[in-house]
Formats: sequence, structure tokens, C-alpha cells
Amino acid sequence: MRFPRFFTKKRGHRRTDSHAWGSFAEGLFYALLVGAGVVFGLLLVTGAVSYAPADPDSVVLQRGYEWWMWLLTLLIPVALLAFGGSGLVRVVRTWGKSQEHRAAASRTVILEGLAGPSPVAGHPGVPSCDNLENSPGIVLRYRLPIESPENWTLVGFGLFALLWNAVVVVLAVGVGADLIGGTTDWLLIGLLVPFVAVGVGGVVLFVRATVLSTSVGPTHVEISDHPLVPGMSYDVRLGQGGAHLFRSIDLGLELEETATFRQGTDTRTQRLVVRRVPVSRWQRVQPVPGGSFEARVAVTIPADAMHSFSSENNAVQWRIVVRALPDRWPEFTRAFPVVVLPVKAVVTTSPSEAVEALE
Amino acid sequence: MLFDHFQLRRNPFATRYVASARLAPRDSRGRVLDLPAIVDRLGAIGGSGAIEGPHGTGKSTLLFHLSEVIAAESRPVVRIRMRSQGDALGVLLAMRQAPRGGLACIDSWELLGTVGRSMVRCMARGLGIGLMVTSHGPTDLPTLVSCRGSRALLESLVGQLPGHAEWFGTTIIPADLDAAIVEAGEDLRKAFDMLYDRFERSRAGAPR
Amino acid sequence: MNAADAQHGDDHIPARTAQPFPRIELRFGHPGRGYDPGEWVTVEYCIEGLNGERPRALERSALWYTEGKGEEDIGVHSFERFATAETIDRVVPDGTFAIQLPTSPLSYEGVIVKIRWCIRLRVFFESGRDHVSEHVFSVGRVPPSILP
Repeated sequence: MRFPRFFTKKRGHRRTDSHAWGSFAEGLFYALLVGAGVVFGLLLVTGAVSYAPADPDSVVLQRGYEWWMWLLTLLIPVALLAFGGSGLVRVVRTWGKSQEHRAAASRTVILEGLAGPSPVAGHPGVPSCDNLENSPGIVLRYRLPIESPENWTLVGFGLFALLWNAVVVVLAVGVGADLIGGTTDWLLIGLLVPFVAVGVGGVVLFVRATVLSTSVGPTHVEISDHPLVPGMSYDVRLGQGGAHLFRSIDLGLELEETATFRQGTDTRTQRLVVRRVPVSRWQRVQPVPGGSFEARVAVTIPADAMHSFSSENNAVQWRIVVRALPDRWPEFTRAFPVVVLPVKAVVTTSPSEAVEALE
Repeated sequence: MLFDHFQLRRNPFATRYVASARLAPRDSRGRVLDLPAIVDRLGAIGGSGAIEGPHGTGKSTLLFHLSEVIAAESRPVVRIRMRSQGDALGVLLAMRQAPRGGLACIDSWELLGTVGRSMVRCMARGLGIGLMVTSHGPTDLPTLVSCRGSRALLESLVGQLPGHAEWFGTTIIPADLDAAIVEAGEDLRKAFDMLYDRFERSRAGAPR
Repeated sequence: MNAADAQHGDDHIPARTAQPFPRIELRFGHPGRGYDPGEWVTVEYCIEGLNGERPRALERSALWYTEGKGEEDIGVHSFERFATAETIDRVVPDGTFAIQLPTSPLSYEGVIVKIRWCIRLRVFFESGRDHVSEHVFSVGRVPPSILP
């Protein structure tokens, strides 16, 4: 009997084990957050209330707690409830539905079959394609992963804001209790000021990132085949979500070099885009309400393109890059790595013939 | 010919030409260091010492060359290059390989932390081996050499790079060295980085 | 060996060496030293200036390395070591060998990352010193990247 694994290592950003068990674990996680929020909130509330000794049936709030104290104190449980609740709702809504099912619900038709076997290895120095080919597209063969998913940035901002402000709340409660008790701990107050500043900054960053992410929507790129070969053309399908107008959307290919140097405690990594191949540009794009802007174009890999290369400290990488300029929002760039193979090898003379030619 | 093509496109400021092992260590005036004299000084200060200096001033380069001189005298040398605090255990294990009378050369001494450094010093005393380390400032070990970056040192190092006569004065000019030292300060590693970019831009015909 | 075709590679001389070092002349089958992936590279070499000093070992290798602003990475595609009296006599002071190139990586002239292929000959002497000679050739026809 094979036990379900809740924490299977994801290949890239995709699940590698049972979708059902994964969703269950995800739901359990959010349920725990909701539970923690409820428990924490109850503890705080019950700690702040008592009953009147003369009338045990009456519950009164403890004196000395102002409204802003309540706000601060309940911030953590409310945050836990909100985060956990929204996650639970999402899990329930997508429970049991495959990616194709969800796509069909949004009236997108599956045209291509699923991915075939990966190409045979035999290209030293060329990075593996596994992480780029383990997600079938809705229309085209493969859906490419994004290079640095903004969701993780969002989660990072959120966690930081949550944890930091939890510390702020604890400090604030301490300061408040001292003030109420008639003592003034200037050291604690001095410590609180920068903490509050950072906490507010964290919340602002999180809110800004959330608004940006929800306003501009996700970007999806699918491709008809992979890995890519110089001189060949491929169908690429772009999907850009969002509720607002985009002044422009550019799709192109880029070749980026990456070099890392370490000496002692110094680690320096430099990236440089050395080649740009524009593919297509759209102007004044308005995504379909509740849907997304979609376009399908042909992308040709230059015949003289350098193949993808990766070693311990150096890399040469091709990416499909989407640059979008939303109306009234800053421009953003989303990159989707691809692997380009070297041109086909040519086997000419045998070694003995070549040695004779030399002599 | 393709070989000529490669000759022209070699950037002398690439890592493989400016890395520690390739350049002869020099002082801040650009004069070649007397390595045997420094080795003698190491013995005079008790067998352990630190090469201290800011980032990019040639500490690792000097450590490597000194260790070569000492190894050539048939004294056992263990070279340890630290990248993070997590390497502390590896340092202790590596030191055990050095026989009595040997020398442990540790790059980035500060990464060991206070406790790690104490343990390493104790172990070195117990095993009867010397320590030669690099650090960014004064340490608990006597200072063997102080490294400092300067315009004169940068110029003398640049003079050691391959094909110097072919490109210096044309692709790279003295004003480029001036600009690099102003921007990078004493950090010659950073200066080499900037000169690398300058070389590529010059070769591409970009204006100064 | 045709002197016009022979090349002296990059000889790496340790700073402390006081003795004269040998010179290694090497000739590639293709005068332009340009090859396609999968092609056979044939090499003829001659080690001069041994001055009667007998090498105790010889290593012949074909490898790629990176050059640029990052730390150097290397990938050894072919390696041979000759360390016995019988084998040394067959390959020193001159010899010929051939290696078939892989499909990748191709030679690449980037801006901060370059990929070079070379034949490397390393001679070890009884005295303990060694001498390395590196001879660059190109694989593929990728044009150089230019600074954007």
C-alpha cells in the first residue's frame, strides 16, 4: 500500500504526486490556520473579559482596554482567519477538477494532445528540460513555467508582514500595559517606534503587491513543442489576465548570460541580456472581463542561435519574455525560460582518414 | 584565421587571468613582494598570522602564493577556503589532515565566528600546526601583512595580464584605470570587473 | 611539421620555475582550427626544449572551459595519461591523436560568458615540475554576441 505523500518535492512549481491528496493537504493547512485564528482570538477575548462578581450571568469587558487596543490585539487572529479562510474556499472550489476541466469551464478548447517523451540526453552542458515539460498546455503542447513567480514574492511579503507585526503587537501590548499601569518604559517605546515603521512598511508592500497582482492578472505562455532548435518555428500562445487596460504588451525572445564569481565572503552574480528578438506587439489591449487577453503567434529561433548552456558558475539561457504596460500601473516583465538545443552534429571522416590527411 | 579571432576576443580581465593563482602578489606601491621574507616573518611572530585588508586587495592571492612557497620547502600545507559559517566543521576536519609542524591556510577567517576561531586556535595548538589566515580587519592573530589597494598596484597588476602590449594604450588607456580606481576605491576585484566591461565596450566601438 | 601551420599555445609557466621550460608545437588537422560538433579533431604535436630531461608522464586532454566574469568551469571531454616507460616513449617527444567532438557545448563568444574548447598537453618531469600547454580551437559556427 502506498501511503499518500503530502510533502512531495515539486518539480519546479508543479505537483508530482496525487492531485487529490495534495489538495487535501492544502485544505488541511488552511483549516489549521483558520483554527489557529479562532483559538487565538478566543484566548485574547476571554482574557479581556470577565464576569461581574456580583452578577455571574453578566459578562463585562475589563477596564482599561481602549478600542485601538482591541484593534491591535485582534490583528493576528483576524489575519489568520482571513488567510486561512480564503485558501480553504479556493481549495473547495477547485477540488477534484483537473487543469483541463477548469479551462473547459472558462470555454477554452483543448486542441493538442499531451506531451510526448522528452528528447534523449546527449548534449553535455545543455540544461535539463524536465522542469519545463511537466505541465501540459490547455491549447498547445506545453505550458511554460514562469521564471520567478510573483506568488512566492506575495507570500513572502505577507509572511513577513504577519510575523513582524505580531512582534509589534506584543511590544505594543507591553507598552500599553505599562502606560495603563502608570509607568513609562522609554526603552520599550524607543524600540517600538522603528518596529512600527517597519511593520507599516511591510503591510504597505504586501497590500501594494497584492493589488498589483490581482489587477494585472497572471500571464500564461504555452508552446507547441520543446526543446527548441535553431532555425525552427513554434506556435506560442499568450494569455494575459487582468481587469484593466494595457497600453501595450510585447512578446519577444531574449538570450541572457549569467556569471557568478566567489572569492572569500563575496559572491557576485551578474546577468546580461545580449540578444533580443522581438516577436509581436499589441497596443491598447483590454482583457475580456472575467477572462484574459489571448493571442497566438509564431516564434522562430534564429538559425545562428547559441544553444542553452549551464555549468556551475555560468549560464547562457533563452527566455520568452512578456513585457506589459498596464494603464496607470508600472510596467512589469515576466520571463519564461526555454531550452534551445545545439544544431545537429555532423559526423564526417573517421579518425584514421583524418590522420592520413594530416600526414 | 579563427585562432586570430580568438586572440582578439580574449578579454585579459576575465576571471581566469586575474584570479588568485595567476598574478604575482605585490604591495600597495606595485612592487613584487618578497615572499620568502614574509614566510620568515611568519616564523618570527610565532608560526601563525593573518593577512588582513579590505575586499579585493589581494589577500587570497597572497595567501595562495605564500602557501606555495611554504609547500615548496616540503612543509605540509592544508588549504581551506571558507564560503559560509557552515564550513566551520569542515575546517576542523581538514586541519586534522595536517601533520605536526604543518600549516593550515584558511581563507575568510571571520566566517568561523568567535567560537569557531577559538576552537581552531586550540586545535592548532594541540596539533602543533601553524595558521595563516585572511581577514578583513585586525584579528586575534598577529598581523603578518596588511594589504591595501591603490592606483599603483592596479597598474602593476594590469601590466601582468596577457597581451598587455597589444591592448594597453588602445583598448584600455590609463584614464580607464583612473576611472576604475575612483569608482572601486581599494577594491581591485571591483576595478577588474569594471575594466572587463570597459574592454568589451571598447572592442565593440562604444564611445568613452 | 609545417612551421606555418604549427602553433605555440598558451604556455603556463609557474612563477617559481627557474629552469628553462619546453615548447610544445601543435598542429590541427584543419588549418583554421574550426570544427563542427561530432567531427573528428586530429592533432599532431612536438615537444621541444626538453634538454635531455626525461618526462615521467604526459597527459593529453580535450576540454571546454568558460571564460569571462564568472568563476571558470571546465568540462573534460577526453583524457589520456601516459606514465609508464613504454607508453611515454610512444608519445614523447612527438605524437598524433584524434578525438571525436560531442554535440555540445559549442564555442561561444559572449560578453560576460565565453565558452572555449582546447587541447591541453601537460608534461610531468622527474624533478617534480610540470608544464602545461593549451591550444584553443573552435566548435560550431555561433557568431559572437555583442554588447547591447
